[in-house]
Amino acid sequence: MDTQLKKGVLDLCVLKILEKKDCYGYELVQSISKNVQISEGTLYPILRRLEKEGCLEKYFQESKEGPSRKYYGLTRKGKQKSKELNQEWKEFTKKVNEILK
Amino acid sequence: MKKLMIILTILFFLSSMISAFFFFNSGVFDFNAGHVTNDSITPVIQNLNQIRFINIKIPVDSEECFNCIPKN
Amino acid sequence: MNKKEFLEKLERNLKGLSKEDTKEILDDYKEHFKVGLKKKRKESEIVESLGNPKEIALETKKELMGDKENFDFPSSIMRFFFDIGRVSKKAWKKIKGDVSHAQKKFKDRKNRNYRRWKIFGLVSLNILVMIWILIAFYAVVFSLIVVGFSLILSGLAAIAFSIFILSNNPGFLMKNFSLSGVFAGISVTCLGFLWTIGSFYSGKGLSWLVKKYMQSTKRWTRK
Repeated sequence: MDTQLKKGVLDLCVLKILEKKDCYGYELVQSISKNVQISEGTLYPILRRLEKEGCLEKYFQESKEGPSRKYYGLTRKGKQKSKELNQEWKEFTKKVNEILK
Repeated sequence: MKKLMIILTILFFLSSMISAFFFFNSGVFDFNAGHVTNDSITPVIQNLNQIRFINIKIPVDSEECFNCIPKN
Repeated sequence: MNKKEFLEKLERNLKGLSKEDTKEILDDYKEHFKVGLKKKRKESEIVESLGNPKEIALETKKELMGDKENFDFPSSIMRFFFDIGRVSKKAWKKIKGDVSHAQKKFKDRKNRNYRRWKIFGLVSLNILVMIWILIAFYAVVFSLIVVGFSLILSGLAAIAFSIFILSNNPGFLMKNFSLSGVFAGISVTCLGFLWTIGSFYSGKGLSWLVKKYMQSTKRWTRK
């Protein structure tokens, strides 16, 4: 899959997944890389950038399987951005499908 | 970085003002003439001569001075 | 590659990124390994699935340094010289490519030599201009920095000199005069620092201008 297209979409995927529930880093990386063909390493920088932009917030939570893990959740700005990207994606795919007909 | 620049600018203005204050207070600036004159600067040069920082021969009225030439 | 090598290579290639970001990213990957190993994955398999640490580092830097005012002194200086070097090398290669591309295009036997020389002339003129621009750019930035340093040094010298006079316990006039000198020195030193910092920013600005110029001339030579 084209890398440029992937990059634009990854933000959307990350935000969407976190909209449903808060995840910790590894969990998020696994759920995305299962569906989209990307190397797992490329997601952490994206998470970090989204956090810096104020779309994500990070907190530590004790887990049953061992030490406390870094959990990511959406901020209000994040929820807003998720909606925006979702909308853009829908419009974009609609237009592309028109051309491909 | 921006903080540093603000601090430096404030420090710059403050120290220039303080420096100007001391300068005008020192008597080196001759208020009558409106600029630093020969007469007003000679004590400075004398002092610097005395502490051997510089070695400038200057014409001065007084006869008791280090490293100076009597005016006539 | 094992986990240690991966993390080391990643850290090495992240040089230039802020300390905070570097630590955060490395922590992320360390935790990734921790969880992965707990889930009974093999270390080598995790390393493979993560990908190339050098590429990850480059991507990370691109993502996180977008609009940040990163003032890591030595690396930002290096970066900006490397930028210029890289851009000029790219420009040079592009031009060479353009020349050979244009040569191939003109198969017309009659005009072959004439056209070749014409293009070669235009292109080398362009290269020459670019070289001069680069030289001018380096000269301006260098002289700005030199002025900044000399301001700092003279300021410090003034402070030292004035303190020396004060230490000799002089009379009223000299005391005031040298106090004035101390503060004048401080003021000049501050000015020097501000100037030097400013010259780095203007250096960045100029290098952006140079880049823009090179991009525009590339398009021009294509025609």
